Amino acid sequence: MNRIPIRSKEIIWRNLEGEAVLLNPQTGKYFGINEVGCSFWEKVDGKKSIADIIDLLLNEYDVERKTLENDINELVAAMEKQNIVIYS
Amino acid sequence: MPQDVMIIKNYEVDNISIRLTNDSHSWANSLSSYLSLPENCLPKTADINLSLHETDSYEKLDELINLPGIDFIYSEREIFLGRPINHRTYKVDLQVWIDLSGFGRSWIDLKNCRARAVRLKEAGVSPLYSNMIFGHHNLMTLLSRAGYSSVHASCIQVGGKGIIFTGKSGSGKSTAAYSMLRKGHPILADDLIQLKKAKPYKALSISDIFKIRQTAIKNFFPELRAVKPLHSIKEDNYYKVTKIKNLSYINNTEVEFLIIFERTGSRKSSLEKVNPSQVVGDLFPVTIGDTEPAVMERKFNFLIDFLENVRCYRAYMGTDMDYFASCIENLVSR
Repeated sequence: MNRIPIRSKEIIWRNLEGEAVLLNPQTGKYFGINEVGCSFWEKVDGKKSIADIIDLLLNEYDVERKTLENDINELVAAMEKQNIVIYS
Repeated sequence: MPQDVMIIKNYEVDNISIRLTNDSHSWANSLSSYLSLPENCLPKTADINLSLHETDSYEKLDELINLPGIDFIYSEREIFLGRPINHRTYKVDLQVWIDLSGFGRSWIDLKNCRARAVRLKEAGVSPLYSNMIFGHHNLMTLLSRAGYSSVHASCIQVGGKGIIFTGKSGSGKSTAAYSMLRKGHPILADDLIQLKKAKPYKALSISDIFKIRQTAIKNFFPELRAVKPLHSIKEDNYYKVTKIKNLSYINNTEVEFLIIFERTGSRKSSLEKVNPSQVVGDLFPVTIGDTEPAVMERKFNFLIDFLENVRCYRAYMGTDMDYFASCIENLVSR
């Protein structure tokens, strides 16, 4: 939770009506993320830790901390697997 | 340059003039029937030029299309056109060569909007594939220079509004398109369209051939059993829309909807509006494919721009195709 995610520089992405589509042109893999995931991705700046971002998301969404933490951990694990995020 | 070109046909679509030259009468007639393009009688020059040749000599093949060296091979795979054929692509700047071992070759000069294709006589490949690969696909590639991008999708028009059905192979694109076609709505294409950025986006097609699986005919459209297909290859029947009574074709439309499918197995269909990001998994893999990063990025941005300008739906497709068609008609009339 205290790790600081960094966006892989290869990734291109676009916000589509609040959700996001990411592409790694090097691998040709796509990644679609929902509204909360998109908000998480927009906050990944190489400075904030995952815990910092979760705190910010709790101010935006009416959701229990535990549920959000589980969702974000799942998302981050999938992004890590696809080399969408790396860690500093 | 070849000396024996005999047949010239001129067409025009969306203000783009196309000239086809062919040294084989039978191929020229066959391709003319495969394509569905308005003829243009007296053009001075053409925006797009495609010359087609037939030969039984490998020397002539090399003379007409000389391949660059192996250093320029871009991709290689095997495709199945009634028999396995090695498909090798070469690229040098804006020129592309496609060598289909034992079947023929294409050379596409994107800078000058021209292409040449040669097919080998008695290659043991259906003439349908010659028209599809050396004619249709080469013209579609050249149209990219006129601002169009190829999209793997079927497209129909309902009440003047274009609807694109997309999804992986076997997802039901053709079945959905034919269910609308038989209700009197014109089709553009069942598998491949060209899309142009405009407000609204514009879809274009150059052929009225549609393919439908024999299982779909058996399960949903028994009336097609009485219609002789133009070609029948394995499980697929190919028909020409304009040769079938009460079916209609148009070669362009403005696009307002994009629909992806999920088969339910139940009788009734339903539609659900979805965020455009939800259709990416169905649209992108079949359309962007495996290409170089810069091209992939360009196509990605083109498709995202498109998705921002259409209404996206997921169809939970049932087995009652008349009901499915009425769902689509209701959607458009809302």
